[in-house]
Formats: sequence, structure tokens, C-alpha cells
Amino acid sequence: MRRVVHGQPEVVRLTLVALFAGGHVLLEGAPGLGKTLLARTIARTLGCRFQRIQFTPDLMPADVTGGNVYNQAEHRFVFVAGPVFSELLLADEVNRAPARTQAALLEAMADRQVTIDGTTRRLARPFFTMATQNPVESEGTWPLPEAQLDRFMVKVLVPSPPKSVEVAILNAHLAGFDPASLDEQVLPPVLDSAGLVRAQDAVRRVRVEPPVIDYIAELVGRTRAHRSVFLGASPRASVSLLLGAQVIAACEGRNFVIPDDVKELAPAVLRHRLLLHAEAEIDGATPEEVVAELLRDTPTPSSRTAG
Amino acid sequence: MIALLLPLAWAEPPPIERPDWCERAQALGPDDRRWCSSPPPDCPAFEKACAATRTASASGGCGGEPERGRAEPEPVPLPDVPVGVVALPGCEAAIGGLGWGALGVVLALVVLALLRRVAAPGDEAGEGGELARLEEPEGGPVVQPDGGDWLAAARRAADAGRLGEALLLARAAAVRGLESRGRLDPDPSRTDREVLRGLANDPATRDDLRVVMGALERVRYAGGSVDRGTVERALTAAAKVLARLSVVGLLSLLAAPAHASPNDHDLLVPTLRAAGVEVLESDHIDADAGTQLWFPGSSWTDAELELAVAAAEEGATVVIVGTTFAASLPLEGVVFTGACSGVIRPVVWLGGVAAWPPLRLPPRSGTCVQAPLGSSLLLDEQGGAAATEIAVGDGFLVLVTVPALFEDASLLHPDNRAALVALLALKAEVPVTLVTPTLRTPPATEQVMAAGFTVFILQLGLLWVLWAWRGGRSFAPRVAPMGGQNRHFTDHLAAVARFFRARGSSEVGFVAVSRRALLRLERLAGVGGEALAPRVAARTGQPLDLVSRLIDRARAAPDSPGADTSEHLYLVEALWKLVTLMQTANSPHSPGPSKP
Repeated sequence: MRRVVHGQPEVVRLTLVALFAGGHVLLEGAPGLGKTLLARTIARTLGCRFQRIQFTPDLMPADVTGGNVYNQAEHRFVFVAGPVFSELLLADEVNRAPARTQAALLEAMADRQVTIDGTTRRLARPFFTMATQNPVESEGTWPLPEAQLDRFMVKVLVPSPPKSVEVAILNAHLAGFDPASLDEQVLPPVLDSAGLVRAQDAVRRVRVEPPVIDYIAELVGRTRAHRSVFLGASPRASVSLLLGAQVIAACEGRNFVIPDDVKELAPAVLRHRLLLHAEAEIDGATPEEVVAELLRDTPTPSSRTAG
Repeated sequence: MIALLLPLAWAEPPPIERPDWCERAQALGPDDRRWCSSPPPDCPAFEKACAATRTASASGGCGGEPERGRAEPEPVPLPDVPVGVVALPGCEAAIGGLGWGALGVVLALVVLALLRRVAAPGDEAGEGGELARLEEPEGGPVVQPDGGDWLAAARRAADAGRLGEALLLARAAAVRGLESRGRLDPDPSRTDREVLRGLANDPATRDDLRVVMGALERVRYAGGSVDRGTVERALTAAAKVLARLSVVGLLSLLAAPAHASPNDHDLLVPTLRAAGVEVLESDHIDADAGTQLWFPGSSWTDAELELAVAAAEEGATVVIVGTTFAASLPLEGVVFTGACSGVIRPVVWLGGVAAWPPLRLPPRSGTCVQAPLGSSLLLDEQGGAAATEIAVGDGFLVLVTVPALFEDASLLHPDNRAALVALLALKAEVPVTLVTPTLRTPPATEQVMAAGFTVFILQLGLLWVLWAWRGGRSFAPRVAPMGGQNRHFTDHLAAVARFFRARGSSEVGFVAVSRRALLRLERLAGVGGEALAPRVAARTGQPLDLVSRLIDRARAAPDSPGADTSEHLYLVEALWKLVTLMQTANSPHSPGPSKP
């Protein structure tokens, strides 16, 4: 993956954490930073069925989920599956579609199913959504509602690359790299869908002891009591932290979770789930600062001597 | 300018805890005695010690010229003077009279204490200590057991068969020991691996600690079982960590002053924090760090000065504290007349200085600096100038040639305290960053050099032992930084807002924030004057009339800050929000929350 996506190790790592934990990822960054390329690269290396939806203001819910279409030859309605019926879904510029269309993704992301005309249809497993959004443009955008944001396991900020990475990108293009053609010569699949599901199941067996569970609950609970926070993180955030920490532990070659795994993941899991008071926002507070403060203030299990 | 930033009425400075030397009589060193002419209020023991010193001087016991008419009638008996700590001038013969025998006894006691700590670091808790005593109550620790206490508890737990608990206590022993010696910041949110990473420059300690933490990790998080052998290895490793600390700590103890004294700086940080000021620490000057208090001592260089000037030009306020201005300051209008130890003599006295409370400072003499026209001055009650402020670029240099202003005896004077807080905090660049090695625990080598000759010889031997033992590695104990790091401009403003909310006065903060916000807006917009408001409005998407009103109000602030009302708070926050919007607008690729 490094041959294609240059210099975004943290972004790649967190995206893979969400993938193997069975969650979804929201990538936020300016245009041209490789968000879409990352999604396509993952799809290619996984050999999954990949669909991409370019969200636009006129996108309809049925464009996402599909719908029943009248077949004149057979004189009946037939269901035409939308792009959501895939294994890896890229929702590009998700905040450009109206809330109604964004909501079409809610059920799919949370329950891996869609309900159309009263009929519930299961989605495939794995089902992994990568959504992107651009934080700097405000014209013609609809910010994702809190309920939708909560469905994303992590929100990953895609930073601008430093000069050295930019040089590497330029050199790669000079050497003939074409992001439009990620053929098998460049990126052979390393895992198929079944393999990914097996990996997801294996990760769930990573050991999590009560002190770590207590630490997660304490950390997330504190988001609801913080003076700057109007709406804290939900229990779904706790679950995301737990599952993500298991993946990080597995990536590190451990079969048990330690508090470091939770601390590493906490900013990405919590930042988009905190709604700050208006006064705090005026004071310049950001969710990232709140999370950092909570991490500084929450004792780790080892420091609780009696515990 | 300092004078313009003054509040009309001085707020009562927050109370601070009185040091021991206020309450308990002790010998006064030469630096301490400077404060006898201006004793801190409510320090009866210090005044009695001053009186005793004067009496002793008058009787010709150990001192110079007798002072007439100021001696108290009843001298206070002074405690024994520790060797190498305080020696009153003229008393060298008396100390010499102790003879080599007494010195030998002291040496033997010191060596015995050293050997005892090295051999049995965990025995100091006593047999009666129980685990319950070591646990920290909900409201915070009542007692502060050191690493030895925790290790003793760990051993008792191991002996009782509570092996998991023994591991936990062994970890606590090592970490508390490192914290109490200043090798680690006390931080309960730190994970074990973060602790190990923090000891990267001390591989021996890190390796021992890894034995403890590795065992604990396997038991606590991996569901592993623990056997007695593992626990014994962990206890041994924790004991080694503490033993190593004991040697270094004892060395520092020998070299450090045996007691706090009026010329220490223990009250500086608590004073600022009590006033709501965030205090950070850094080892270098930074243009983005706002107000920086720099104690360069006598070893500053032209390069450091240029750095300070450059930081001021970028908008920082650098407070330089020192008596030796030997280096040349590359500023037009400021003349340093070589090394000296005295006060600033102004070329032109400006009005407005009377608004400052007269500082209570020790008497001084000498001329060092000629301040440029237009500088503001800070005066003491003798009318001497203690500090001057020079505008440099977007920021200020504040030269303080009376470092005694920052000493504990000075800070016990409420007026001095209020002036110091105003000088450092009410200039919109809070938090205050201390840029100084002198307020930290100095490295052991410096402490040795600073000690008396006898102790120096003794410590030289100990140094040699330590050197051999540690394989030549550096062992200098350092107080870890207070978690400080350079802050973003908005953090400074946030701190300002918090500060003057806490102080209940908004006028000074508003003036200062307005100035900083304007400077930053001009820099971000790339224009000034009349073109600023339209540019900012266009970039941020805010209504032009609103932006214009805000900018006009900010420009008028220094001359007419307006009544001290909640309007200031609104204005500050609005300006501040404008700056953050401009920063976002200027950095399309900067990560941040989506604000469509």
C-alpha cells in the first residue's frame, strides 16, 4: 500500500483498524490529499466488491440503496440494487448530499441492512464504508448529523504531506505511476472477502481484561461530564474503542489489549462524537483538545495502585 | 506600555503560603540579609533573625561594621549552621576551629547514610506500614510515601502471598521514586510504556523498570499467572531503581541548600498560578510562546540576545532578568555600559510611573543601562528603576536588572506580587513561559561546584564512585519540564480570557488582547489600515460592518478601553473568533473540524 499511498501512515493505520474492527471510517481533508486513492487501493488489495458514490446535492436516497423498478416485459416490479450493496463503499464528499440522502446510509452502516418499500435486505459481509468530506468549503454542503457521525467508528484527519513526501509523490509520477490504473501489476490482492471476515473474527478473540474495559468506560464517561461538552460520546463509542483497541493489539503482535491501545485510538474515535457548548467553541476549544485533556486526566489502570 | 496597561486599582493579590523561614528562626546568609532592610510582612522569625544578625554584628562576634541604633534588644539563638551551607562573613576562623576531627565525624556520618540507603532502600518504611496507609484517598494524597515505603509494602504483600498486588506495588515504588526525585512528572494518566519511553536517556533505569512493568503487563492485561520468582525479580529490579536514585539524590542533598531561604524562587510559580496564570517552562526562547521570563544569568550570548530580540519583533514579550548586561543588545537607542550590577538609569523619566505601587526591594547602587526615550519604567520605593520596557517590532523587551524582584522575600510583599503578576500576565501573552535553567534543580555537577570547598572535596569522591558505577554515563538529575510546550496564539488568548474572568477585571485584558488580535489579523490578512476590515470580512465570510466595528473598537482600545463591563468579554471573544476564522481561511489544508 505504501507504494501507492505515500506518507500517510497514520491515516492508513487508522483506516485499516476500522476495517478489521468491522467499523466505518470518515476521512476529512482538503481535496487532492489521496483520500479516494486510499479507498481504491484498499479495495484493490482486498479484492472486494467496490462501489463508489459521488455525493452531490441532487443525489436521491434510491441512488444509494437502489429501489424497485417496474419491468414492463414482466409486468412487475423488480429490485435493482444500489451501490450500497457492495463490500467496500466509498461515499465521496458525503457532506455534499442533503440530509435525506445521507440518512439512507444510516441503516446500512449500523445494521448492515437496508429497508426498501417495507422489505429488509441484508448487505454482504464484510461491509465497509469509507466516506470523505472536505472541511474548508461551506457552499452547498450539509454537515453530517450527529446520528450519522456516530455511525463512523473513526474520523481520520488527512493532513497535507510534508515536502519530503510530496517529492516522493512527484518521483512516483515521474516513474510512470498512474493513479487511474491500479491494475494487478501494481497492486495484487493480498486478501479476499472471506479472508477479511476471518481476520475480523480473529481480532475479536484478542483478550481484554477488566481493568482495560473499566478504563474505556471511564474515559468515555468523562466525555459526558466535561465542562466544555454539550453532548458526550455514546456507548457506541465505547464499543468502537474496544474493538479498535483489539485490532491495534493484534497489529502489534499481542493477543491482549493494553491501555496504550486505547489511548492511541481515542482521538480518532471520540473527536467527531463530541458536541461542544457554544461558549467553549467561542473560547477556541476543539474536540481534539477536549479529548487530549481527558486522556491527560484519566488515570490508567496501572497507576491505580489499589486497583 | 506598562503604564498604559495598569489597572486603576490594584486587585488584592492572591494569598500564598508562607515559607518555613517566615515562621522558624534560622541563620541568614549574605543574600538573605539583603532583605533585612525591607523585610516581608508577617515574617516574625525572619525579622528576629535580622535583629540577631545586627546584634551579633554590633557585638563584633562574626561580622563587619556594627549597625547603630537598629539592633533588637534580645538576640534569637540561631540553629546550628550546616557545613557548607551558610557561613557568615568573618566566621571562617570559627568554623576552622572545629578541627579535622569534627569534619571526620561528619564525613563518616555521611558515608554511613549513603551506604545505608544503597544497601537497604526499602527498609525505610518501617515494619508498621500497611498497604492501607499507602493508598491515596479520594480527595487526594494525605501522606506522600516515597518509593521505599511502596517497596516495603510490596515485599510484605509478596511475603503474604499476594503476588499480583506485590507486582503492582513494586511498579508504584519505582515510579513514585522517580517522581519524587523529579525524574518523571507525576502523571497518573501515563501508561507503563509511556513511562519507559520517558526514560530513554537512562537505559539502566529503563531496563530495570521494564522488568517490573513487563511482569505486571502479563499479569494484569494478558491474564498470565504470576509466580514467586517473577515477583522477586520485579522487586529486585524496583529496588535497583530506588538504589540508583538514592545515590544521586543523596549527592544532590549534600550539594543543595539545607533549607529554603528568602532568596529562593519557590514562590514564583505558585504566585503566578494562584493569580490564574498558566506557567510553562522551556529551555529556549520562542517567537510563538508569548510572554517569556528569561533568567540568562551571567552567561548569555549575543546569539541568545538576538533570539530574544527576534522573538520580540515577532510579537512576543521577553522579560530578561539579570544584572550583567555584558553583551551588546542589537537595538537602536539602548546602550549597555558593560558588566555591572545595579539598576537601570533612565535617560528620560516618563509620567504615569506613579501608578505602579512602589516595589519593596533591597537597596542597590550603580548604573547599568540607559533606557531609550519613551520607555516605561518600574520603580522601587527608593525611586530607583527596577525594570524598563522597550517596544521592539510587534512585541516588547522588558529588562529587569533587579532579579531580587522574583525572590521569595519579594513575593511576600503584596505590592510586589501584584506588580509581578501585572508585569507578566496582563500583557495578553499569558501563559508565562519560564526560560531558565536556574529555576530548575541544577545538574549535580553544578551543585557540586556551587557548594563549599569541604563539601566539594567530599562530593568529588562521591562523583568518582558514581562515575565508575554508572560507566561514565551522565547522571545529572533534572526536574522534568512542567509539561509545557509552545502554545498556539489562540491558546494564549484563551488563557487571557480565563485570567481576567478569574480576576474579575476585563479592561487590561481587553486592551492587550485587542492589540495582539489586531497584529495577528494584519499578519494573516497581509494588509493593514483601512484595507484590513474588508479583507478579513471577505476571507472569513463575516458581515463587513461587524468586522469593521470590531476592528475599530480594537484600535481604539488602548486609548479608551471603556468601562469595565462584560462587553469586554464579548469583544475579546469576537476578536478571537475572527482570528481563528482567518487562520482557518488561510490554511485550507489544515486539519480541523468541519465548519460549513
